[in-house]
Amino acid sequence: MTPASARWRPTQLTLAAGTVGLAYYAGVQIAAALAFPPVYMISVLSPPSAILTAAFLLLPMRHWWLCVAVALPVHWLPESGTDQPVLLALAAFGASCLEGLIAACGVRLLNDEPTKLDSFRRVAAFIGAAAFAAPALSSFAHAAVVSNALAQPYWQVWGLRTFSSVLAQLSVVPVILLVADVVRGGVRPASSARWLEACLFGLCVVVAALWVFGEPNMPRIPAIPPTPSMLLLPFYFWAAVRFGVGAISGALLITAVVASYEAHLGNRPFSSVLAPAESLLAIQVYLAVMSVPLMCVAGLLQERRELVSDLSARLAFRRLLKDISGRFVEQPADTAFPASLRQLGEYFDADYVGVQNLGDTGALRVEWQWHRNHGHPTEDAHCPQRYPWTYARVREGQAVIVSSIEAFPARATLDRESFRAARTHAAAVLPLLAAGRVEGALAVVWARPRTASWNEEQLAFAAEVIASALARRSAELALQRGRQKIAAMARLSIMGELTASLAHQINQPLTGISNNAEAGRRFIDSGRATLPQLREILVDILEDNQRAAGVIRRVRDILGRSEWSPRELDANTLVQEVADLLASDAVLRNVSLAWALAPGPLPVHGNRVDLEQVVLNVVSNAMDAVADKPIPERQVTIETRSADRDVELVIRDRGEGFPAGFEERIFEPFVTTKPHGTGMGLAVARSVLENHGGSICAANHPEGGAVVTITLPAASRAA
Amino acid sequence: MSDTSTVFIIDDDSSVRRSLGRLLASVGYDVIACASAEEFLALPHETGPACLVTDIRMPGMTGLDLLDAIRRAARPLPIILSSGDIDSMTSAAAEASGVVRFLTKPFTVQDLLAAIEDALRVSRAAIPAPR
Repeated sequence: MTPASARWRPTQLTLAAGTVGLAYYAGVQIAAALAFPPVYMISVLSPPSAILTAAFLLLPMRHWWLCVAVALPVHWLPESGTDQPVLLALAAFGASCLEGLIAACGVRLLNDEPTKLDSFRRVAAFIGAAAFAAPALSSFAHAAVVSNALAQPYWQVWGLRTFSSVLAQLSVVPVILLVADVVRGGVRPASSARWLEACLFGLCVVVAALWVFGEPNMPRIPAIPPTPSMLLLPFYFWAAVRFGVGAISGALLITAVVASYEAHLGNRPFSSVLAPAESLLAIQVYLAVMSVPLMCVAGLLQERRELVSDLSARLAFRRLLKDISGRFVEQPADTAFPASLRQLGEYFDADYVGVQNLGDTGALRVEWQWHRNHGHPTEDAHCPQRYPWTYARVREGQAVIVSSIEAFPARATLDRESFRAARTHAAAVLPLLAAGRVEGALAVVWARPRTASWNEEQLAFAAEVIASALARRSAELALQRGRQKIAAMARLSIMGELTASLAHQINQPLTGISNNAEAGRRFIDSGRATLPQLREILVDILEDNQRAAGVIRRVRDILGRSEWSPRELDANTLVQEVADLLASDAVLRNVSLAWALAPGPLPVHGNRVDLEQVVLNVVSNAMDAVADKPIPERQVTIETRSADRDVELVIRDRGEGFPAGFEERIFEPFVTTKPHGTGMGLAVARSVLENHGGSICAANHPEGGAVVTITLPAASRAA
Repeated sequence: MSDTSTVFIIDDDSSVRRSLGRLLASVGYDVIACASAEEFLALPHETGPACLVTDIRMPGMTGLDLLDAIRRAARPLPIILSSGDIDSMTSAAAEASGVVRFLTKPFTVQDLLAAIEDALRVSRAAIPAPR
């Protein structure tokens, strides 16, 4: 935001006007103090016009009249004390205003950022318009009045007035702009080493200036021209290389003040060869000629420095984005999001970064957040419900970036209140867009004055990366929900197929219980009952009861909703559980179900219900495959074994095997070799195993029949 | 009368077999329990009134296969079939072979005893009364 476009509040305006008045007064005093008495009334350095120029550059055009209004009485105050005629004082004031106007208009015309002197173009515009054109043009008018009133040669007056103004413009305006920039917080805080260097620089300039201008009899370096003024050059170079235009200007100011002061005392470096007036002119020309090229160099260097720092900032930001997007590819969302938010927060030097998800309900919910520990109000202070106005705009796809409470409209009362209560310095809330739809929001909050350099474009890029990660995660969640639903359906369908066998498994113990109880009653009725016999009956009843309960438990386990709760399991136990469930079905269908389990436990990591479902599915397919074979050939074997760092479950049947080319396709959804199959069972099995980091493959056995191999990572590896 | 009647039981489930044997013994029948159809066929044939209670679905020879074998041997043994699920096909086949009664598990003791009494009545009618 340039000051010209900003709205100035009355208090700020009053403050600005006061500052202009004070500065103008100081400028007039300096000019009067440094005036070459008695005849010229013109000093080495005449700051009032330069002060007006700086004020015009800093203040919006519609407030310029204020500067003039403040400066006029101030101009009058000290000058009226002297014997100066009203006409001359008015002429001096008018020339100052004219010069300020020409300078400010010229700079604004040529420079896109009138208060900045950080590139060659901007420095050149300033030098051309403010330092040369304005003094030269305004001096025509001034010289006309003065030369008439005091009967001085016109061109001499013009020359003195012009050069003293040139020097003032060069030495005062950049200093004021620099100070204003520092006051507004536009300059990054410097390290203490840099402060030290700046102080050392100032001291050196003072000492060098005193030496050059104040000691006419100082020892001269042999073979160096009579004037040692070139001793100042290294310090001006120092300013150009290390600090910038503002520092050269400061050095110039110091030098000019020292030179004028010393000239007052009669010590002039050129005094031995030149008359006073010429000596004055020589100092002015010398300083202006020395500083102008150096200012241009400083502008160039500054431009280059900014290019380099901009480039390195871009590179750093690109690295950041690369890190983050890489992390989202490699890591699960639950670790990638917190780590990325932390990295973003540290890069932007923020105090809070949160991602809010716009769920199915349409309510924004804080999904992940990071906050720096500063004893700063925590996450609750940044929840979307506290900022209805902000989030209403974000929902419409607009970014809201505020750096002061004024950025909120008056009607956003709750937002303003929360912003104030949280002591927020700045906040940015950006919509997370996926396929043109707002999926959520990224909130970045700064609780301290901003130090890191970042811009809105970077925030938008970061939001884009987070948005794509969020979109991918919701797609994954939807897929997972879909898989769970399909798995549940597949479980139900397999249970439907097993109904007859399950009924049998439960009816057997029920029949046993009822028979035993009836027998016991009859023994007692007939009086033939013996206690050992009754005990035997009761034991049998209890056992049958256990059997029935076991069947129901297994069915419930298989049908139970499967949540993702991986644990360490033994593959052998898994196979055993499934075999128990299928045993009676195998008997009913005259299938011989044999298993060869590896000795010792085979630990795997996974969801028991899901994995049981997979094994159940594959084994029951194998049993289907042999159902139409003659009884001796109805064989299904399940083998478990440890292979390298995997655990393998091999299910083999002696059926017809897969039709050629079907070995791979049967894992696709809706592909089945069975007349009434849904084609979902193996598709679900594959997706379950892939979720477990395992795999499933099918092949025909050389001796006939099919072999399905399930591979799971052994638990020690998975963990 | 019932003291001379024999009831054969075939069930692959030991618990069912044991409880059924116990129940029929408590009523007063002579009970001979087998774990499979093959085991039953290896037994000597009955001499007095007798009947057979068998499950339909069993490993190895099924109840229907057994029914076939008995009919082929012209053995006049009344048969009661029991099963957890009797579908129309099995019941039609069984009916053609002159099965006395179907019992769907879980059946009540009363149903079973009534079926056995019916079967034994058939058996007694077929076998000449002992002298």
